Amino acid sequence: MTEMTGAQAIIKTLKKYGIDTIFGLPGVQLDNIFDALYYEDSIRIIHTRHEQGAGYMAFGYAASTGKTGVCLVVPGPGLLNASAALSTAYACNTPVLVLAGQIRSDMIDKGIGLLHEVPNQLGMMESVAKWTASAPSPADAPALVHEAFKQLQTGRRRPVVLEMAMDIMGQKSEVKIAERPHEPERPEGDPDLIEKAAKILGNAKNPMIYVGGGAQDAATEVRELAESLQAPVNASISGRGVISDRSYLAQNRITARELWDEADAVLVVGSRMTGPVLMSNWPMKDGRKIVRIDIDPEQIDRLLKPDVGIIADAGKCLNEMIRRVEKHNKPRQSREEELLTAKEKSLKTFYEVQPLASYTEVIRQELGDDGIFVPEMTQMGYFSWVWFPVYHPRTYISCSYQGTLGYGFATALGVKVANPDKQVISINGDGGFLFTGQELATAMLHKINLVAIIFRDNAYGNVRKIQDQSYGGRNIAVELHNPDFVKYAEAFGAAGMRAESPESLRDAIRRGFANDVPTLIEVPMGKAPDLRLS
Amino acid sequence: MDQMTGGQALVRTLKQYGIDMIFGLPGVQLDHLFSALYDERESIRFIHTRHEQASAYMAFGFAQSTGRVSPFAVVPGPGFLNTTAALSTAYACNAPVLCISGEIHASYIGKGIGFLHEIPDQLAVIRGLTKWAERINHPTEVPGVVGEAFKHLSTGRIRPVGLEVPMNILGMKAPVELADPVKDYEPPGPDPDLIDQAAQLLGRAKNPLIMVGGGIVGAEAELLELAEMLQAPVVMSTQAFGCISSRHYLALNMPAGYRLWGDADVVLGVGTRMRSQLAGDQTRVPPWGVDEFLKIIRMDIDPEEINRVMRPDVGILSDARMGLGALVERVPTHNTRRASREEELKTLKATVDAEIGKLEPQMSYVRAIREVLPEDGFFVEEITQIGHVARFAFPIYKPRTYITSGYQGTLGFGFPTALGVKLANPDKPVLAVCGDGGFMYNVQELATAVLHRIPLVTVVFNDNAFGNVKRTQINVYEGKVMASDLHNPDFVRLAESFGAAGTLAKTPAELKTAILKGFEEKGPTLIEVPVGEMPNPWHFAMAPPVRPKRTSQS
Ligand SMILES: Cc1ncc(C[n+]2csc(CCOP(=O)(O)OP(=O)(O)O)c2C)c(N)n1
Ligand SMILES: Cc1ncc(C[n+]2csc(CCOP(=O)(O)OP(=O)(O)O)c2C)c(N)n1
Ligand SMILES: [Mg+2]
Ligand SMILES: [Mg+2]
Repeated sequence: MTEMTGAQAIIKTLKKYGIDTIFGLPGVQLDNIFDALYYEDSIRIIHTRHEQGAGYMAFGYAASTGKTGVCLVVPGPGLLNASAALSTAYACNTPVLVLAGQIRSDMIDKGIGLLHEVPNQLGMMESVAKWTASAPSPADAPALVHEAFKQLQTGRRRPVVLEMAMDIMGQKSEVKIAERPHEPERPEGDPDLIEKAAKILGNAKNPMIYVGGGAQDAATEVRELAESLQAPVNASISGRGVISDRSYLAQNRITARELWDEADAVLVVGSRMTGPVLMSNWPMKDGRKIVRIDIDPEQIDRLLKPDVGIIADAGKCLNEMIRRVEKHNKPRQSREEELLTAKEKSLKTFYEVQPLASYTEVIRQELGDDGIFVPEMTQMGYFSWVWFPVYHPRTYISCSYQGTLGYGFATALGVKVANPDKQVISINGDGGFLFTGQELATAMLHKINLVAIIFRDNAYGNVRKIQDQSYGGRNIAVELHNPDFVKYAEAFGAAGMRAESPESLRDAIRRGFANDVPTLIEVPMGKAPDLRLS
Repeated sequence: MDQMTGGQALVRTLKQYGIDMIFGLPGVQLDHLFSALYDERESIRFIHTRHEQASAYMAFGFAQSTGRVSPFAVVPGPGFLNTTAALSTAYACNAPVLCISGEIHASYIGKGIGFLHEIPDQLAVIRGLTKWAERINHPTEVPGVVGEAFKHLSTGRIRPVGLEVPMNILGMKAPVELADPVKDYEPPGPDPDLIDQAAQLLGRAKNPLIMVGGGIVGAEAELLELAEMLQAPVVMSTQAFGCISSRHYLALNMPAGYRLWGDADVVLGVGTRMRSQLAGDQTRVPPWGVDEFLKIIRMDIDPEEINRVMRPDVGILSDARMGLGALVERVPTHNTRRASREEELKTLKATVDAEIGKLEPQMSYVRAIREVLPEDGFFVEEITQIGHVARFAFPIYKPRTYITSGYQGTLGFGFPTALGVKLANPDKPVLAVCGDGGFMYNVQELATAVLHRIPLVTVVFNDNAFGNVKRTQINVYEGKVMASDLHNPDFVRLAESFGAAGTLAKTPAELKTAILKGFEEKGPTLIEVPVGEMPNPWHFAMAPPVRPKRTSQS
């Protein structure tokens, strides 16, 4: 037992979990915790210009590493400002820990109207977090931090919120900082079910694998199983990178659509299946067997009823399945030629979508294989869902079904902080970029040198497109006035460039990667063509 | 009955209620709403912003500066969540903001499938930040539910209200009967017995004092009449600024009111929380205090507010205008003859102003701004050094012309709120003061200001720091400065990159020139004022208790 403040109790326990970075924005309810952080050389503080930035950066940090991202904010408007980032992390099954301040403990929920007071702060957070708690005393803090990490590491990974009132943060008492408990259990899956599944897959003539975000930490296992089954693999947006697009087994949405028709067994790993089932309406087929692996029991039979549904950690379960498939597996010839030809053929569609295809190629060529790409809710971003090749897990950071306009730039900054030695490219629409455009100042201050590209069509282009196509061109609220993004970047001291062709974009990206400041590249765009995503 | 979509029903009903401007940001769940808005584009101006937070702050500014209902429309999930800090601000400031949020297809709500922008139980979050919120389940429900929303926006304690409309309901066609809007509600008047009790206390009081908050707006004439007959000084919270012109000898700010608190024998609080007086602050600053020699009368539209911290001697549930009107009639029966306190109070005000006047450089800037901002101009403060000082030093002459974030203290609210104020009051000059920290929260709206030609003048006091945080770290935490130094853009070049006017002003005199020039512009102006560390103004806001009164011996 040692005497310490509530703030210290939290920070000291965080350290047991190897937390090395906190994204946050200070304020009076957090004075004590920032004071505690002052003494912690092992924790880097990235303070942002809006709490949303802290939230998105923690998200990017977590999504690109699988480690917990931490975000520290004042109560009320501070926490609420981070809420869209939390809903994004929630949709993406990303472990983000929010430490929130709270008003003085004896005044909570009295409605007096104190600085940053909102009614039932934690209640509201239940719509964006998996677990929430309030730490009532310094002594209780370590156990609650442990519980927070347990929640972050078990089951479906989603954000958690831990709040502490400002007086408790400053209050001193005897606190025991327990060692970090053992890694929480990730279930391996019922062996009988795995056996059943192995039989189905091993005996299938045309097995196919569909992976979602739940497979991001099981890339090796997915590849091994896919190879032994010669099963093509298609990934949802969140599953991109689980199988390298350099592999002949990796199939895109267009080629997978045809393979789906002939598949007599489908293994789904950590995916909601909304793409194939709801959005694209891939047809069902009698006799086709479905095997699903998911960590979330609620998810296992949603939208697509499995013949075998296994609640398990993807990697652990797949390991066992690989072993068991061997016994049942048919002798299989390599499908390399056939699958490569299919992919090759589909590229014709890709090249038709110009200039998006050429820009995509340039970006992919310039971004190293292990470089990380953060798309946005912009034409180039949607195009990338299908057409941007991804070579490694956690190198394609989407916002999944949350579709959060504006998540990209700030998320990419968090990605770069977590991966200082990797190249990071963020692409944005003119609309999305300005949602977190202030964080260019954060990038300058903390020397977060990424390359951000803005495709500027002076419009909420996607909305305009829908108004053009479905509402007779009755355009409203879509026209945008923009800054000159080159001058905008320069006003911050960052590098600003304009590129009007794929080759000049290539040149700008190269110069950007060589820069010792963040780089913003503006690319003028006309109305986007049909994206050919299915 | 006309066939119409839910979106059309909603837009037409809003129009019936006199809505002529809506703020928002489009997206797929709102497509049918925007289609309906396109049809009504001649009668309802739509202002689209570059972040949903700004849509909501602009609605807040519109509502605060006019007292009229102001709607904003956003997509569900992240779009709505982006507005939550603005909603919490409107909630804290009792502003009639109408949040219209989209929602996923009705048949999928609550299933957790993960549709675009889906979050669990969005309506619960909306309810948490509003006084009342409801989902519209069918186009035919629109007139009724919107009518209910306006009832809540027009009666009782005014606070934001929420509507959630699933995307398929906005698109669904049905025969809808538009109802006549109900606009006039009879506010609750006071209990005559309580008025009589209060009138007796006030009439016989030797040193009556009146405290007013945001609830006073609309009752200015009655307030002045009562205050004059009682010769009672009126102490205004920021929300009440302007209900009596600062030029009037009875109009006091908080620091002046504080000096009178110890000698008051009867206090009448109208539409105010009286937090500093009764509850104190969460940083352990105790309240000014009460004792047996002080009688407290409270008048409020919100029954909870009257007894929240302590039971007053007389608690009157009433609309302020009706309640004060009744007091004006009743007090003369009990009132003692009173000599004018003009001289005494003028001296007090001068003394307090002189003390505050020593705060430099803040006061030179405050004075400079007041000198060039016309009487009916609007001043929008921020959570920044000049803003903090303005709360007890900026003279205000007209109700609703001083716009704050109230107790929510929302960093970043100022600039977009001021854009909403300007849109609502195109003929009046509007000025916003921001810190470098706060301004950047909504810097993107410079684009909105240029696109919609909003000639707002914004002054950014740039100390390259979260200055308030930094000063606390220096003064209270032994100089342990962290996470409070900032790197900033060159604000002039930043403004110019947007096509806005950018100016640097290094002195109060230069600032005056720059502001006057800004008021002449057709579009937005950003003025950067470089500043250094500033002295702590907080002792004016957080002073030690004066009651219970010490006896003369101790
Ligand atoms: C938070 C949020 N608000 C609104 C939307 C709706 N929305 C989707 S795309 C889009 C337009 C994006 O414009 P821009 O970033 O310029 O990309 P473009 O389509 O022009 O390439 C909007 C407003 C959203 N997805 N998320
Ligand atoms: C949403 C929100 N986040 C954080 C805070 C805490 N806070 C209060 S003042 C302040 C610094 C403001 O800096 P700036 O706008 O530059 O004003 P200055 O004090 O430097 O004049 C901060 C971070 C807040 N009030 N609201
Ligand atoms: Mg665009
Ligand atoms: Mg500052």
